[in-house]
Order: sequence, then C-alpha cells, then structure tokens
Amino acid sequence: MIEIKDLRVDYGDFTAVHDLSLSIDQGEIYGFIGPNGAGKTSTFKVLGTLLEPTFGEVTVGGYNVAEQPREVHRILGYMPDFPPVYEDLRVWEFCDLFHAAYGLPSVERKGRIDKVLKQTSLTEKRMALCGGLSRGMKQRLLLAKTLLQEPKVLILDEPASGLDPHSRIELREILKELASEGRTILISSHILTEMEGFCTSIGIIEQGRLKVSGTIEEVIRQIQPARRLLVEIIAPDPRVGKLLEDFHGVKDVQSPSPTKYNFQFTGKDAEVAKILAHLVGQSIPVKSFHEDRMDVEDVFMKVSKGEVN
Amino acid sequence: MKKLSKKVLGDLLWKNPILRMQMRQRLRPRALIIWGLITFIPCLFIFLNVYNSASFSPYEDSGEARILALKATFIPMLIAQGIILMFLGTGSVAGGMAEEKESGLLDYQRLTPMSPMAKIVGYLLGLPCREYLLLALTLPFTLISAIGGQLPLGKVILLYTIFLCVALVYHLTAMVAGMLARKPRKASWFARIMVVLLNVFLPALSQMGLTVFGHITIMPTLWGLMHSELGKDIDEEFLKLWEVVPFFSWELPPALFSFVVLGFLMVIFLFILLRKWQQDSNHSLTKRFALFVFAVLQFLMIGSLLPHLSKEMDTYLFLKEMFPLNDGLAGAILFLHLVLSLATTILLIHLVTPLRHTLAKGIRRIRKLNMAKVPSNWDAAGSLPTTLGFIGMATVVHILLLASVIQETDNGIQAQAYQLAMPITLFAFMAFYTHAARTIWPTAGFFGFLALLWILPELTGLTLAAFTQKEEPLLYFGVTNPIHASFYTISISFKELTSFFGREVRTGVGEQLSTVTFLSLAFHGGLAVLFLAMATKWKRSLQMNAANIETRKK
Repeated sequence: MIEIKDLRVDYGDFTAVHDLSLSIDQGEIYGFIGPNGAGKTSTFKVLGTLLEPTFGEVTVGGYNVAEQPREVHRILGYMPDFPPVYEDLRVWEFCDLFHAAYGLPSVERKGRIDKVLKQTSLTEKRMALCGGLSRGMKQRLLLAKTLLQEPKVLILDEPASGLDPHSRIELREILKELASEGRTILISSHILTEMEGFCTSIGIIEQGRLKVSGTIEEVIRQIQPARRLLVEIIAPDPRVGKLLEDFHGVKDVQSPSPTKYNFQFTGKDAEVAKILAHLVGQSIPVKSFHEDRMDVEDVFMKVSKGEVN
Repeated sequence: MKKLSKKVLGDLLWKNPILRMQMRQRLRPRALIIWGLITFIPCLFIFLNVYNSASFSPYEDSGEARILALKATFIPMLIAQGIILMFLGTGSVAGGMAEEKESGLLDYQRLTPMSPMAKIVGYLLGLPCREYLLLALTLPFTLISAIGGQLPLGKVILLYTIFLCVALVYHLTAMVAGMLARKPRKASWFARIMVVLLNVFLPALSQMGLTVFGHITIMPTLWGLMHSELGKDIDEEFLKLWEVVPFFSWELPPALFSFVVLGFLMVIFLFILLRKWQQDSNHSLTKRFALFVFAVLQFLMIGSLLPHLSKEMDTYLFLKEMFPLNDGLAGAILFLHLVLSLATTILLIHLVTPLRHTLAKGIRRIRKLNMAKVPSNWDAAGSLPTTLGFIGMATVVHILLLASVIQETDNGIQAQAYQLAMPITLFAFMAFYTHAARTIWPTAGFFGFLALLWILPELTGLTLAAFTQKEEPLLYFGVTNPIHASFYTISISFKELTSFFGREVRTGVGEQLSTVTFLSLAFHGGLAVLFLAMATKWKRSLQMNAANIETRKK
C-alpha cells in the first residue's frame, strides 16, 4: 500500500532523509520510531505530497505522490504533529468543511460527522468553538477530521501527544479497528510502549537513515539474535548450571544468585519448552521459567546507542 | 454543457467548502452587527454632510440643486467603498492567508482533493467576505446618488465592474503576499501599503507616458467615464490623459484597456498561486512564464510609449511639458523604457533563479536519474538563458522605439550608431551581473549587494557634492547607479535630456558626459565579466561538491 524507494530529502545542506526504502502492506499498523529531527515528519510530508523530495520513488495505494497528488489526497488521511484548527468555527462546522472538501456525499454528511465525533468522544462538544478546546480535544478533533473521509491510508504524526490516558486507550482501539477494516496506518510516537501494543511492524529511523524495519519480532531478532531465558528455582541445586550448559543451543549461563539462572538460547519456542521439560524431568524445583523479552523501548535504546548498524 | 458549467460554477462558488467556511467564520451575527454599524453610521454621516453642503447652491431651482448635491455624494461614497474593499479587504486577505500558512491550516487544504482553482477562489472571495457585505451596506447610498443625481446607470455599472476587478487584483496581490510572507502581520501591512502606493505612484507613472500602469487603479475609468457626468471642475489637459488610451496607433476606451491590464495581472497572480498550491517550495514563476510576462510587459510598454513619439497623436504627457523639444522627449521615453525594463528584469531574475540548495538538489536528482544536465523547465535550471531572453526582448523593443524616434524626428538623430547602442549594452551588462549575483547569493545577500553597489556610492557622491558645492562628485559616483548610468548612455545621443540634470552638465555636455558614459559602460561591463566568471566557478564547485556527496555515499 505504501512503497518508498531511495527517498532522499534535503533542506539546504542538511539531509533530513537518506536513501530510505520501505514497504508497508495493506492493513498494517506501522510504527515509525525515532528521536526529534530523525526525519519522520519529512518522510510523512513527502507521503502527504506536502514536500517535494530531492529524489526517490514514492507511491501510496499505487499512486505516485509526485505525479498523481490528487489521487493520493483521495485515499490519504494525514494528521500532523500539531493541532491547528479554525478557532472561530464550531466543531461540527470544522468537520463539515472537510466533509465537503473531500467531496463526500452530502446525504451522508450528518451521519458521518456524528459517527466520527462519537468515535473521538467529541459529541458533547459538537457546538463548541474550536478555539475553546483543550490541546487534547483539538488533537481528537483532528483525528475526527482525518477519519471523516474513511481513508485507505492513515498517516498519524504523534497522534497521542496531548491526549489523556483514557483517550490514548480509545485511540489505540480506534486504530486497531481501522486496521481490521483493511486500512493501512503509519504512525509515529514517542510513547514507545504504546506502539508495541498495536503496531504490526516498526521502523527505527535515526539521522535520516532507517536503522531497522520489520515486524516487532523480526526487529528484536535482528538486534538480539539469541533470546535470553530466566530460570528461578525454589532451593539451590548445583546440577542446574550443568544441565543447562549441556543443552544444545544454550550459551552464556550466568547465576546472579544460587536460585536464579539466566542464559542465551538460539532455538525456537518448541525447544524452549523442551528445556523446561528437561529441568522438571530432572526433579529441579522450577519456580519460574520465562523469556527476558526486549520491548520496543529496549530496541530503540539499543539502536540509539549505536549498538545496531 | 449548461449542466457542466453549472457544476463548475457550483464547485467554485456556492458549493465551495472554503468559501462557506470563511463565511461562517467571518459573518457571525454579533461581529457583523458591530462592523455594520461601524460602517453604516460614518457613511450616513458623510453622505448627509456632503449632500447638505452641496445643497446650499446659488441655483434658484431647488430641484436642480438637489440633483447636484446628490451627484456630489457619489465620489465620497466611492472613496469609502474603496477604503472598505481595497484597504481593509486587502489586509484581511493577506493576513488571513499568512495566518493559515503559519498555523499549518493551509496544508490541510492542500491535502484535500478539491481543485486548486476552487481553493484559490474560496480564499479569494471568502477572506474578504465581510468587506463585501459591508460594501453592500453602502450601496444604497450609491444608488440614491446615481438615480437621484441622474447619473447614467450604464456608466455607473461599468465603473463598479472595473472597481470590483481592481479590488480582485489587489486581493490576489494580497494572497500572493500572504503565501510568500512568513508573518501574518507583515503580509497584511505589506499589502495595505502596496494599495496606497499603487494608487499614488502608478498614476504618476501614467503621466510619464506609461498609461498601462494607471489602469491598475480605478482612476482612468473614473475620470474617463464620469467626469462629464459629475460636472467636476478639472483641468482639461489632465482629463485628456484618461479619456482615451493611446496604444500604438489606436485610441482605446479606458474601461476596455483597464480590463486588459487587470486581466493580465490576474493571470500572473493566479499562475503564482497555482504553483504555490502545488508545492510551497516551487518558484513563483516558471522560466517560460517569466519570459511570457516580460514579453507582455514589453508589448504594453511599447504600445503605451510609441503614441507619445508620434506627431499625429495629440497625447497629454507630463514629459512633454518638461521636454518640449523632440530630442529631450525621445530620450526621456527611451530612458523610461530602459529603467522599467531593468526593474522588471531584476524582479523576474530574482523570482526564477534557483538558490544554492535548489541547484544542489537538481544536480543530485539528475545524477540519480542518469541525466546529463538539469532540464531547462526545472526550477533548479540556471537562469542565464532566461536572462538572455529578457535582454533580447528589451533590445528589440528599444530598437523599435529608436526606429520610431528616427522616423518622427524632424532633423534625424545626430548620434552615431555605436552611441545609440550604448543604453541597451549597459542594460545587458546590468542584467548579466544581476543574474550572476542572484545565482551566487541568497535573497538578503543579493539585495544587500545591489543596495551597496547602487545606493552607497550615490550617497557618497551626494554628500561630497553638498560639501564641495560641485556637481562632479555626484556625476562620477553616479556611474555605479543604474539610473544615472542609463541616463548618461541615453544623454550621449539625446543631449536635450540633460536639461533635466542641471545647467553645468548641459554646458559641459561634450567632455564630462562622454567620460561618465564611458566610465558607466566600463564599470558595469567589468562587473558583468567578473560576476559571470564568479558564477561559473561557483557553479562548478557546487557540482563538484554534489558529486563528492554521491561518491561518499556509494
């Protein structure tokens, strides 16, 4: 649904995006992660036809953003990272403006506006002036405006900033629902733990270069090829270390305390289960056995520290 | 066909979402009532005051006095309407556009699939919608004045059509200013000051012979159409300027000429706006369109200037008063053409010459696409061919003006051919180094350089002249100034022109004028060679840098 090939964006002498290539399938929720100034917004702006790249082939829904911008506009919903609204318009008037601007059928107008206002919990603010809304509410109004056209592709730049925890959960649910309807979502956020909850894929961009990209599982495997497993037993048993080391694929067994062990393992899930079964079979009193899984935040920190090429 | 045009008009006007949105925002009842009162009460006050003052007439017949009094209210009402639509409306458009650009709202509109034209019309009519409504509030006064004052309604309607066209052009100027300016307040005030300047400065240029410029205001139509109806006591010579428009060998009605000139300006502004809608980083004009604009301007200039050289056409001209002799008038007209061509060239070169990063971007792009050179229609292409085009066109027009001068002058021209070629050679030199300086430097550096080069030595000359009580310092320092230099190169062939400059020069025409003319050509020619060499070297180093970046990447 989104194809980016060799994208480069220059601002004067500064290169914001270096030869970025990316492919996002239909129905995916792709999390674009990176520090401020990494090139996320520049990439989004190119996708939204707001910025002309130095070079690169970019298509959205099969339409080339440089050559068919109006076709792209019809299928694309773009929400920028700051919430400008028409201060002197009422909430429903704001939605009405974009309903008409996207050329949606006027018979559906009331129903659609009511639906998106309900989705974004703004029904009660329908008659309020946009200028009087809080930042979070403006953010929700922008989301409502973006959902109005039922776009095939949604580009959301920091949509959760300014939202309260309740609204964030609602946003997550809305995005999951949209993805289940087959819409493609490209989202950037600084709240990395939230990205993990609903993103099907992520990409980490730094200094304009895409460092890693893929499903969360794939990205973690790229950064941490071997998984780290933790074992805790009820009482100390000198056999445990040896039993683990003898198992094929186990490396770097460490025991921070007499009842705790951790080790690296390169095998698959079924083989993990075999290790546990083996320990239990040897009458080892296992209290807990689990994987020390990296989350998106850990991945991002590792990439940021330059631990990943 | 009818259905299609109805749909197109609907999309542009009554169904236009941006227009409707602006109307919702700006026509909220409470604010509208306040604005309505602020407008209506002063207008009523002015109308009644003028009416009452004019009613105290020496005429016995009170009916005739009433008619004259109602006629007298027509122009004050028109001025009030001008303030509302042209001054306040223009400010609203510029401020509104700049505000939306600054806040990012304009980007939302860019992202909608509406046609760019519908977006432009939406803003053009929507941002000043309050002012249009306030104008409508004042129209009853105009109607009373026109009907009661027995003014011909056809002429009044024509006048108001031009009035609206002028307002549209000002609003388009404001939209362009709003889209280009970084701060809303700056854009708003820039546009308002422009309106005042246009109404003061352009009629003055009109009197100098460039009729075309006067038609960007409502003056020609107002005086051309209405003066006889309004019974105003105006200088007959002044009225001659507006009654008909001498253009080549034709005498055009002022309203028609105004439509042509305003239409041309609308096309230019719409072109700029469409380009800026497509991509904010686009140059305002393409190189080809800049050449087209320059060609039309040259056509309008020669069409306006030629009749003043003709013996057969009786045209009023301020210059004719100043230079009663053929020689001086011909020189003044050539001078005017040269200076205005230079001003237009500088402006257009500024608009179409790529900045350093645009050039670098173009070089990187062609390398990626395996192209040999930047295509000429890209913004990243150099502006030297365009500059050559400007020089070529200005040369043709200059030669045509010269030919007309030779044909119309009683005793022919005494000057040698090489002397006649000096002004346009100087123009070419200045166009070349302006192009080169613009290529090397960004906006601030470019205009800073021109200011230093053209104004600072002039000021030094003025200061020295004031201290020494001699004109020589001004004469010699003036060599760097394009207006002075153009003046010298034309005066060498049309010596009567120097009467404008002072007695000393006139008496010492031979020696001093030849020296300063030679110095002017040498100075500007030297700069042209130097800057063209610098620009070539600079471009080469830029290409090398771009290449290095590519190599490092690989």
